[in-house]
Amino acid sequence: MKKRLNRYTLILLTAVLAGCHQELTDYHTVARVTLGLPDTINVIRIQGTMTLQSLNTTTTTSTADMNGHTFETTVLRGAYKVDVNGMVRYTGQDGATRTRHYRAHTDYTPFADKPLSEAVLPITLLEE
Amino acid sequence: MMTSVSLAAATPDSVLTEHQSVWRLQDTDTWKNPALHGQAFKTDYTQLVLDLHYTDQTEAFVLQKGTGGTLYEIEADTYLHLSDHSTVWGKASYMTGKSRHITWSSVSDYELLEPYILADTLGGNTERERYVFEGGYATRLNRLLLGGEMLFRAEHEYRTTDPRMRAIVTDLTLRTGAAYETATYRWGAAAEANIYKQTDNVTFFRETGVIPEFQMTGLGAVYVRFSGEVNNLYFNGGGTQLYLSTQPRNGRGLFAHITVGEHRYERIAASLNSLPLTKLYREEAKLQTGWWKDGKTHWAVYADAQYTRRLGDENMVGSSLSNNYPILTTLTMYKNTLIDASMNVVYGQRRHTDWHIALKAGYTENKETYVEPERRQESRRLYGRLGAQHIAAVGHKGVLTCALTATCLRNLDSRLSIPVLNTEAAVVKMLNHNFRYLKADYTVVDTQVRYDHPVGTGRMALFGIVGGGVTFCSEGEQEQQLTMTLGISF
Amino acid sequence: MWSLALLSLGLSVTSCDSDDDPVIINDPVTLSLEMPLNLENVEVTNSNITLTNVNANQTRVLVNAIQKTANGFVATFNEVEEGTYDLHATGELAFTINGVAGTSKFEVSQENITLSRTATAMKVTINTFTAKGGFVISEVFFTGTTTPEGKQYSNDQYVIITNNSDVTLYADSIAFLESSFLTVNNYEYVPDISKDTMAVAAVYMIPGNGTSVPVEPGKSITLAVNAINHLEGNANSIDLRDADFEFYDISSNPNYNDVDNTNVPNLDKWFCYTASLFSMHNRGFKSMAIAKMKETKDNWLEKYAYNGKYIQEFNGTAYDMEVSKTYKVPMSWVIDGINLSVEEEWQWNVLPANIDSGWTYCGKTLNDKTRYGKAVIRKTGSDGKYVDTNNSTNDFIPEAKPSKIQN
Repeated sequence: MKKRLNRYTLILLTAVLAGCHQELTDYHTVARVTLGLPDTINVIRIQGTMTLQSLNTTTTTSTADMNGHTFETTVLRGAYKVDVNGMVRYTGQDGATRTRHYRAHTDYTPFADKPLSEAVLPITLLEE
Repeated sequence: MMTSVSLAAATPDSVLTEHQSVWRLQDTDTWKNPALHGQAFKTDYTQLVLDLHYTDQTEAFVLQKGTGGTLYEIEADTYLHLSDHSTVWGKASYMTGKSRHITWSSVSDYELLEPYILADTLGGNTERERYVFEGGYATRLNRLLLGGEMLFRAEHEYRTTDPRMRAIVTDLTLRTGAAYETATYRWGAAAEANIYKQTDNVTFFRETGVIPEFQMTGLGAVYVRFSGEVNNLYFNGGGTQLYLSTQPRNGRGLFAHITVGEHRYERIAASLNSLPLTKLYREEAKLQTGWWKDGKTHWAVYADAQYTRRLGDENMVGSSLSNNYPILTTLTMYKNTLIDASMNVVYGQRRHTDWHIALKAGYTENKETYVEPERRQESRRLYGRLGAQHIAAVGHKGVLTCALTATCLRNLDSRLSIPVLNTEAAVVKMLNHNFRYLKADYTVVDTQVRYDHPVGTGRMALFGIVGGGVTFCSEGEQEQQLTMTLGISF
Repeated sequence: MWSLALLSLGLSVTSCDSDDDPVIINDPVTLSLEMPLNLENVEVTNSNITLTNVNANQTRVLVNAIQKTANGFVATFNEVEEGTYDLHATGELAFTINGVAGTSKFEVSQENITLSRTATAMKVTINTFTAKGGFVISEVFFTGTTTPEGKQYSNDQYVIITNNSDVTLYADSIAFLESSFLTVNNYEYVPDISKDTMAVAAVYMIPGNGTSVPVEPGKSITLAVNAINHLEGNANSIDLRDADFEFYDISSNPNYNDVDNTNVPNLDKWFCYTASLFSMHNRGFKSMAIAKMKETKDNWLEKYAYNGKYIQEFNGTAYDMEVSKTYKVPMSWVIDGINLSVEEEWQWNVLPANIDSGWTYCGKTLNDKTRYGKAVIRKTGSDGKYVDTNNSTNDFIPEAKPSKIQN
């Protein structure tokens, strides 16, 4: 009798514990930001730093690792403000080579999809 | 089985002894099962009391709980056997008072809801009111015991100076239980359901003195986006709990109580189209098991272990279109585990007087983490407690109850790790303050003296209680407590 | 007893993850610094890199530890604990931009960098200055003044060159050029080199070893034809003793000797069309430029002579003329240039459109007597810098009061 009751108790406990809240641990995703380059330029070399600021906590992270004209970094999933600053060397339609600063910005972009969240940011070439 | 009450001049009143003795009061976990609560006492007892409770800390040990308070309460409670096989009990009370120097918390029930609270740096004193209604009924059908209970609490806490917080709490618990008696043992199982709600708001009358209210998300982390002027919150919550117990019927043997439960509390921003910001989950498992022997000389040896896991889910909110906030994802950002394990020995005698000594040695652990940016707070402690109680008859009919307890808490190790550079200075100061006290050593001494004086020829008696305690903290600060009670019992 | 087992299980589960000891990353942690793309020959000095652990608030500092490797500029930290860090780097860069040497300070920060055994590389790009603008001709005073008696006085001509960028640039080897061709005579030149080469009548270079003449952002240097106090001889003139450099010629004509203010360094004379004393075309029919001379004087004199011909029409007859005594400077060496002319006579812009697509003036007619005592001055934009759209019609204020005239 005692043994059976013990067993029932154990089963009951397990059932209760199994109904416990599962931790949601899908914390990070890869944020891939591709710079939108104007058609009129032919890029020779581009570099820059992308800064992501979480809209919820205002924490910032940055990366200067560019692959072509794309940044990839692992971030905590959520909503972000994105700023990119850098320089690009290109040949224009007239064939002349120029080096100019550029900037890209968005006030809001969500990076929540797993395993990859993508965004495209058009660049603005600054006067030189 | 009821026994007739007789007031013997030499021994303290058995009713009083039964209801006041620490020996019986260690059974309070069992009594959570209404079916077993009906078997708690053989004698009836009813009282009406007026209470004053005063606490003061020279410096707040926990900023969110303030430096103390002065509380007045009027309470009526009763425990009655309606017949051989049914019992009824109930309680009604009203409390009013003041809490002092609360900072970094603009909500009530801080310990229940933390860290997911609304907070500001200024705070102040608060006025408090509380209503409690409890009632239960238990009955016996041969070997089967059944019972049901309802507990209701309503609280109102508010401040009359800026920042004017106002919190209204309603807390309803329903319990139902059953127990089965064999020849030697009593096996019980009970279930409890709880519904909890709190509404909070903070207003400022002086426009130039408006300060931001922070949505705290754990160990100093702040949900910056919704902090500042989102001053209307409500908490929706509740949960379930399960109680299992076994105890010997004939006063000697192995006993065990198990409690498991899960509760959740969701914080919702009312002014943002009822956007849920966070949800706190609390899972508890508690085990108490040991051996007791009742009789003129009685003792018990038991182990007590409690494990609590609290998890906090944060909603990552996206961009709002016309006050409609989409939730991009929900992540468990806050984790807290608490452990309390102790060994207990109680020994006592019931002869001319009723006296007991109790010894407890235990270990507690509290670990909190916030996932990113990483924050951690941990502390581990050893503690020991020695208590004694003595109930004796005084004069013809009076009863004097004296109790003394000394507790010692010693810190084993502790750690606080927060991203100091990326956290606001005021928040870092608050965390450091609380941590100083979390890892401190404490020595607590409590005493209480109660005198019961029967009046008239019936069961009625007048009584008074004076109690006080001092807590010494290794940080050099202290806490003092004073309780005064006047009551009538019958 | 299973109850005790449950108890001990609870205890052991939570005391499992006691990671109190900080984990040291075995591999070195590297910081790569990417330099601005428009800079060449970059060197880093006086660098200071601070890596601060965000939780422990402990700081690691590397001083002068940036090394130039085949993969760029790298600094290395050893024995770094895993954790989250804030980075702050400062230093000084020396570089050349469009051939001109310059220096600038840099400062770059990054927050919340996670360093662990699998993440040991940090990278920053230096964007804290733009280094755009370079040297510009900010003022040319070529008309000269008149004496109180009304006679022409051209000795007080000067040109002002300004560093229009936000970095310190070095003016060593920058030469002042006056064009050989005139904007009022659009002859057909053979060979026509005008698109990518400037035929010059005068080349006077600022001397130096490469870092002798630093010019801070926004500052100017004045090149005066004669750096003397002209007020002594002409009450309408200017005191140019504070000029930075002076045009000095050793004249072949003993009657006309150049004055040499020994307190003012002389420009290095590479070529002048006249064997006597240089002065700018004071009716403003020639184009002026500044260029970075990329050859030694001897090499340039040897290789860059311009022997051209042109056809001049006169009374219906076409004459073959030779362009005499001219040298040429590649347009790629030219840093800034302006076309000068007068409205009545303008025929063509000597400098190509990418150097100056417009022209500016003091005076409107062939021998405009009202031109004296006036200069062309570059406009200042709302950002405090000189406007430079490579169009002097837009960029210059014509017939302006010379900045050096006091009254």
